[in-house]
Amino acid sequence: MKILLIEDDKTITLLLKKVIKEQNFSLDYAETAKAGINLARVNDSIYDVIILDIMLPDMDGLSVCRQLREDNNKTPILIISARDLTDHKVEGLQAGADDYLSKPFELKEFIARLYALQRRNVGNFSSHIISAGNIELDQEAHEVKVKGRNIELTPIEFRILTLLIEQKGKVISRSNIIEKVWNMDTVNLFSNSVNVHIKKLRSKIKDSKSKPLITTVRNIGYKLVD
Amino acid sequence: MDIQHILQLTNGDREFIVELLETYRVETNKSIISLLSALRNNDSKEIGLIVHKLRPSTQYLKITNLESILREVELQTNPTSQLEIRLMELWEKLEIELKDLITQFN
Repeated sequence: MKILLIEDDKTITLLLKKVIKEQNFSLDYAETAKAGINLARVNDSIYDVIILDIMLPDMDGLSVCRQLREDNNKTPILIISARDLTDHKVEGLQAGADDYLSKPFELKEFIARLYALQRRNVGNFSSHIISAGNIELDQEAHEVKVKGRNIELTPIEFRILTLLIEQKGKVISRSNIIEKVWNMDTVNLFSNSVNVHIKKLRSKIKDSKSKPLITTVRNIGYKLVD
Repeated sequence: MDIQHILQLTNGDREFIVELLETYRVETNKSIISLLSALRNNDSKEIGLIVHKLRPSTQYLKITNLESILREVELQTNPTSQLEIRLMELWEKLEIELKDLITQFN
């Protein structure tokens, strides 16, 4: 799981970083609202959950939440706040958050909620058939069709194609593909692996009459174009 | 300070305990200085903001005597109770206690 934590309290950040790392989740961290919004924009849809504090030094978390939703960011947001009244929770959920935890919370409950948000998020996608150009990808049936013809993909190829279709038209860096597909941070170790899988994927979804669907953006990554 | 709680919270990771307590000590010291200044200036908005920020980490570490005085400051239930002096004295004691603990785990 890839997480973005936006929190300025250094003590709480230390505790959360520790429990998040104990789960082998990958974590990006921002101490200010602006840095958090930037990370969410740059790494669009790469995060499985955004953890958001309310009282940030430069902007309140509710505004961050609204801003992310205005950006069409659909990543589940978990608000963590010392504001523990029902009205505060309602306000947070109405601003676009998916869950709200009052500080201090039990760390095991925090982790359980992260898993629950991730499950819900995966569930949202699984009922969809996503498509790009002549490709149709059914996440539930784990099937891919090109011009109505079934093609066989390995699990890794399937996950890469899912990511590219979900983010079609946008450049996805190799490191982001590794984080999402392999769920690891060891970027350099596998960077050639991405190239190999993309090459195989291209040959399997190739449409001889048109230009390649998966284009290489030099020194950055890959983009799927319709 | 509840050492058993801190050990439980950190799974007994001594290196992490030192980092955690030191971070808390440094950050809380800054906040207490700002809070004392806000109390002197009777700046209720600033007092509220600082206390609100300070309470969660204090609650996580179960530093109950500081937590209760922060609650008192937040509610401002007793303006004649010399909160500023009590807070200053308490923090002086707590800081010594924190430093001792950090040395102990280091």
